Amino acid sequence: MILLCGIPSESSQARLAGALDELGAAYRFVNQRRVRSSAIRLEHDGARVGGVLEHDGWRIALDEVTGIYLRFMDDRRLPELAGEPDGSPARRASRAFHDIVGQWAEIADACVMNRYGAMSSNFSKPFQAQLIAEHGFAVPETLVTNDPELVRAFVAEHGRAIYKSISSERSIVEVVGERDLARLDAIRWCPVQFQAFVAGFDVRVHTVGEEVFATRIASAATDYRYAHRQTGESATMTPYELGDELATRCVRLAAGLGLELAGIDLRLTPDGEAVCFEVNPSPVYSYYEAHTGQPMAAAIARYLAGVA
Amino acid sequence: MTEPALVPPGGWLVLCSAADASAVWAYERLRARGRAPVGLLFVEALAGSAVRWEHRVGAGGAATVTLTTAEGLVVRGADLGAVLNRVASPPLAALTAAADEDREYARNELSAFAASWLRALSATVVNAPDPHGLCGRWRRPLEWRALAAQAGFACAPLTLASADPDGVDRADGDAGEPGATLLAVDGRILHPAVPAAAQQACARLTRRCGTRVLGVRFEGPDPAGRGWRVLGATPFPDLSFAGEAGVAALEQALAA
Repeated sequence: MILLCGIPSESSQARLAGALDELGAAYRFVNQRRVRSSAIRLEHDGARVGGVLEHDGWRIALDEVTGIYLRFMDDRRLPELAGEPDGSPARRASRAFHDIVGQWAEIADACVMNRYGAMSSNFSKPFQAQLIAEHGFAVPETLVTNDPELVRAFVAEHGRAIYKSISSERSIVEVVGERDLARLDAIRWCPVQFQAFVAGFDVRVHTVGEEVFATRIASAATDYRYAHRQTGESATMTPYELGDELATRCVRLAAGLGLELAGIDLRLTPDGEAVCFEVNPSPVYSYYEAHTGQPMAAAIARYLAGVA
Repeated sequence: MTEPALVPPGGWLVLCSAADASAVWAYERLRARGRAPVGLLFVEALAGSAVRWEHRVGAGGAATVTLTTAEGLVVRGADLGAVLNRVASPPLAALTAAADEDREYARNELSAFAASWLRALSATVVNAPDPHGLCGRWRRPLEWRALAAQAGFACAPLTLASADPDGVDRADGDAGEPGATLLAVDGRILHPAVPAAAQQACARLTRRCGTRVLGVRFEGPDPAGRGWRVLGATPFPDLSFAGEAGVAALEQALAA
């Protein structure tokens, strides 16, 4: 049995469910919107783990679960708990449910996409960059500092630089402009991450086990996710052929980070080098699939079902 | 003019909170033993706008960090021989300067930054940082027991139920199950009574978790009487648990 943990209407979940239907694989949603009818009891007997998950009228022994697609949203923001005060029994039970499912997924004898522990490197981008480089990828020249003079020197050295969050908090990548240089005194309390601008085009690589789907993104924006906002035009996406060597490197990188499913952000430079910006451990693959028709949901379904 | 270094080249740095009495004790003992020059830096001294940070990651992944304290002392990662890392929380004083709506973002940024610069601080950082634990990855008791069981330890049973949120909280603390925490360094528990099988299991556990300094928590005040059953572990143990033998092991770990 495969569990899809999250919100069924979310595009990644919905596409995966459709692919599992086509495959004929058994699955169930652990629908966060039904958190009030969810319960889990987990027992570690000192040697192995077992237990029962009950949800929305069905129940399953944990050792019957062979695959987990783990994409819970922040349970504190569930509409079903709106109006519940902090610390209410419903909120505490919900938190405990999500927490225990996450703990179980960490050690479950199942295919998990992805375990929270494996996702952790993405919580610090420069930390992850150090790991990425160990797997044979170039990474952008990076400076994290609270010293305005160092930033000015970095920008002067590289001609063009960008800034973005250090953590996994979503931020819009922006080019350092004159206005930014004029307000650098604001960084003294909290260091900021700057990177040399890398020329080239973006390729998002999704790895599903050893399967690779590369998507070329055409956009004039610094951050193609916000292309319309930055340039007035949306990014366009097309399937892209990576080549065996680069595809293999991507698979090894994802495996090295412990990720069964990964979204790897590359920029391919004019001289053919692949510079890796980051590895997303919970990628919204459906966005790329919808634009290109690349059959990622089917690959994820096969992988979770253990079908080669 | 060259600013003075906190630690001479090749020296060791103990990085901890001012409230971390056992780390300060370990610093004093390491210094007294004299194997290498040792400096002490409190995390609290790294907060504030007067500290200057320069952390770089090169295109090939080579990472460096240089920080200058408010007193003008320089810590250049490339010059450090080793670091005893006891940073449980990043310097967060900057949060007092943040607007309410920015506070969580700033906290995450400072934590993410710390994970990266700690990793770059020296070729030998004990314990190595992780984004899920700056002085070594934090794991919950369930995961520790699963790892410990795989490593060959006997483990105490554990039940977690969403219907009992208090029980989940209790499992994370020490209150629910009386136990004794022993210091382990590089896979060896520093206690004379530990049987060989448990020592071998500890060596395997250390390899699996990648955390060189651990506090392994055993069931009961007398673990031998309970069959050396593991309750959990921590990457942030009291470093004085094993006395001078613990310091000798730490010294060995830093020199390795």
